[in-house]
Amino acid sequence: MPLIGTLDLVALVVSVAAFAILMLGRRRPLRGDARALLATALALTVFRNASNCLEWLGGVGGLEPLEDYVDTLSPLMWGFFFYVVFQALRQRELRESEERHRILLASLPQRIFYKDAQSRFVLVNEKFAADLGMEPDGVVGKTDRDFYPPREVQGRRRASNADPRAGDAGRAQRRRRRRAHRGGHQSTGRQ
Amino acid sequence: MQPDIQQGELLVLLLGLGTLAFCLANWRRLRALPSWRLLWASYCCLLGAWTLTVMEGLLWSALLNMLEHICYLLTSVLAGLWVLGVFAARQEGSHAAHRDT
Repeated sequence: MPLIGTLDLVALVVSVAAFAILMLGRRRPLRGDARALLATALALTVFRNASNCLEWLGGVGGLEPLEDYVDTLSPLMWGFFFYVVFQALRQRELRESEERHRILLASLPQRIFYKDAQSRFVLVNEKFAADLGMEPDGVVGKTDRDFYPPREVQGRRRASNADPRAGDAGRAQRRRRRRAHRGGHQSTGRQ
Repeated sequence: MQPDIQQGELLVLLLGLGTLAFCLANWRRLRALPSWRLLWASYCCLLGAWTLTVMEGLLWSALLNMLEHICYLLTSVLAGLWVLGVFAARQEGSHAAHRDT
């Protein structure tokens, strides 16, 4: 067997070993879908190496018609694998960011809340919920009307619409708030 | 010598370059993977093999064919080392963080 044939044989043995380790390995550092895509990409590499070996052994006839299809699938499988892995990493980053945000809100001594355009609570911190005698999840979806008498609700609404800052900066802030309200964005507050 | 480029080989190279561009666009996330250098080197060798497959139809066919097969070997070895390190090695702190990747 020439040198190239020997290289192909070594590559075949190594790729089969890699595939076996992937399938039989006890650790599971990748999600199931990423692992399946990687296994497919490695299986295609095994096929390519087997085809190269058979070429030197004179038995290529059986695999050659499939080579073009397999070769086209190979970059696609690697691309899908990287896509799935990057998506999983992105989700993990998002979870970590939400956790940091939650810890920050829980540790602040102020009462913090987020409201939607209909003045419903979207998110409140623990201090805010504790003052109402509830858990934060219990406040979500409710409005001031659920906790305060009507007169106090009106006072609170006036207070939250009034801007403590005067002058151009105050007017600019009011304009931003009105634009955000028209666009249905969330509003936030601190008490 | 007439250039001999097959459409299928060119398509594979273009798809491989697309995946390369996607990985470069997500470089920061790629580097978050355990032993990412081995995986990345493995893919680059595979891309090198696809490139050499196309180029051997244009010039130095025997030399580039030999290099192509060396690239396939390196791809298998590097991918094998990555799989061995990530899937078969003992659980360690740095890898445990990637369990849900």
